[in-house]
Amino acid sequence: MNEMDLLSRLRDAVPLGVSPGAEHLFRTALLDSQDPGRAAAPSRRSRRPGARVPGRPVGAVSVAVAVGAAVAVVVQPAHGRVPAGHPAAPVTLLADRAAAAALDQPSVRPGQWVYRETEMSGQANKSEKQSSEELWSTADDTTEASYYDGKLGLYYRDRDNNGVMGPLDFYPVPLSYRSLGSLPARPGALVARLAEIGARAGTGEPVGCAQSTASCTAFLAISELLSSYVMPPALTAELYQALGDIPGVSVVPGVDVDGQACTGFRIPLTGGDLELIVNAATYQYVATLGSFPGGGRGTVVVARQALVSGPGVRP
Amino acid sequence: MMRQSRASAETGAADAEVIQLSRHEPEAFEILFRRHAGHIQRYVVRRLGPDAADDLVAETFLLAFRQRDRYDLARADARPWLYGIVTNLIGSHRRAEVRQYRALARTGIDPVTESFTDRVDAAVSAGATSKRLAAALAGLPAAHRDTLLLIAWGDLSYEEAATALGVPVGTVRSRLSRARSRLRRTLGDADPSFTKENQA
Repeated sequence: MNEMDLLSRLRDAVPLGVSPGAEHLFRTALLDSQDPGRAAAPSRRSRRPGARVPGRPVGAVSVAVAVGAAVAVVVQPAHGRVPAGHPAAPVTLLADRAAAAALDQPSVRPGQWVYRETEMSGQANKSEKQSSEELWSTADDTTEASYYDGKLGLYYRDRDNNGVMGPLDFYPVPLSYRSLGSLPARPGALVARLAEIGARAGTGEPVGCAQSTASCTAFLAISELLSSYVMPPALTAELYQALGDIPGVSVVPGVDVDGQACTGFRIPLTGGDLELIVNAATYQYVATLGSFPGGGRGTVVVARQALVSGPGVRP
Repeated sequence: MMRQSRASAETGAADAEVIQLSRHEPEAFEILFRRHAGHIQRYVVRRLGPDAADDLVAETFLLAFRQRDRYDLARADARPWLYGIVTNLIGSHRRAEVRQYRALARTGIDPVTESFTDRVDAAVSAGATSKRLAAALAGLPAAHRDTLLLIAWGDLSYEEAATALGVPVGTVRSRLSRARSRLRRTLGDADPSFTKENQA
């Protein structure tokens, strides 16, 4: 099966046929165009609240919401908020604790194989989907392995891109591992730099960002870096400290994720929020959770992560 | 007389004849809609998701209707014309399209098909290959992606894709070659079934 066959398979997952909605819109518009004196068509566009620029089809926002929900991550039904037994720590204190814990971690060489079991769920358009995957990748994420049809396949990242997300990157990681050393250490400068990189890479900001776009973009960029790489401890520490420096970020006081007592960082969206969840004891990254305007939700939980001797080796 | 013409057009006339008829009998344009709207809708849904599709499909055929006087009647098949219009409209949704591919690449959950099926295992079985494919699509230059998908998802020939995009056939061949090459590299050096055993 070549790439064209795979594309056909992807297309064929969509049923062939025109929807009643499209047919109605077309017929109404056709009638209008033949009768200039007729009142404006009662199109979906004009009926929807918050209709935007005339001529621009609706849907882009709702698609973005759905995508955002699928991309961003979160809360499995089994997860729940832990009753608040103690007040939330200030965000800077949580950032300092997570940074200190990161500094206690051993350094890992870039070629070290890492096993990850990830659980994902997304809810959009009133349907909820869950999936999980086992993935092996090197710590620098340049090589990846997974089972497909019972066989282990190895895949290599495009090495041509010079730092910013390249055209063949598997995931929207905003910065290549090789370029991590170029990041400034000071939290404020680091946030500004990550916001700039995220915007340039086109990873975009979440739908409904309630703070500044730069804040949301930096928050997402840090989330992507922490979930994609096993980074040098000093850099991991700097990223956590940067989280505490992003305007609008607050502490998630307590949440149970896969049986782990967790806490985390939250940035508000209009009608939702994004959360970067860490284990409350070890402060290691556990999940990214998102709830979006319109009810979309998404979750990515790293259920298990361990250093292993090679691809296909389970801990 | 006119009714007979419509009946004839309905059954076997080429698209160009239908368009010609619609210049005098606008309602005949519905024949073109019934013939092609289903395929255009699937193409839009696959590229942008179901939410945007209804509006874009209707807008495509309305634009075509308004431009029917300029249609080259020497072209019997109207598909390249219609796909050219819808491709231009999709152009204003590039960001949404790319976000969709990235969503699939990131989570393995297809935001397009999830509204058509409740089978979680369908999304899961899509697995790494579909994720990489989606990621590669997201990373393609827009012109290359348009070319590739007009052929792979629109079922257009090279010549028809060239007509749809308003570029020479050689440009289509070149773009397609580059796009396929990128996809192959992303999928594991041309062979999605590439395995560790093969490597040995």
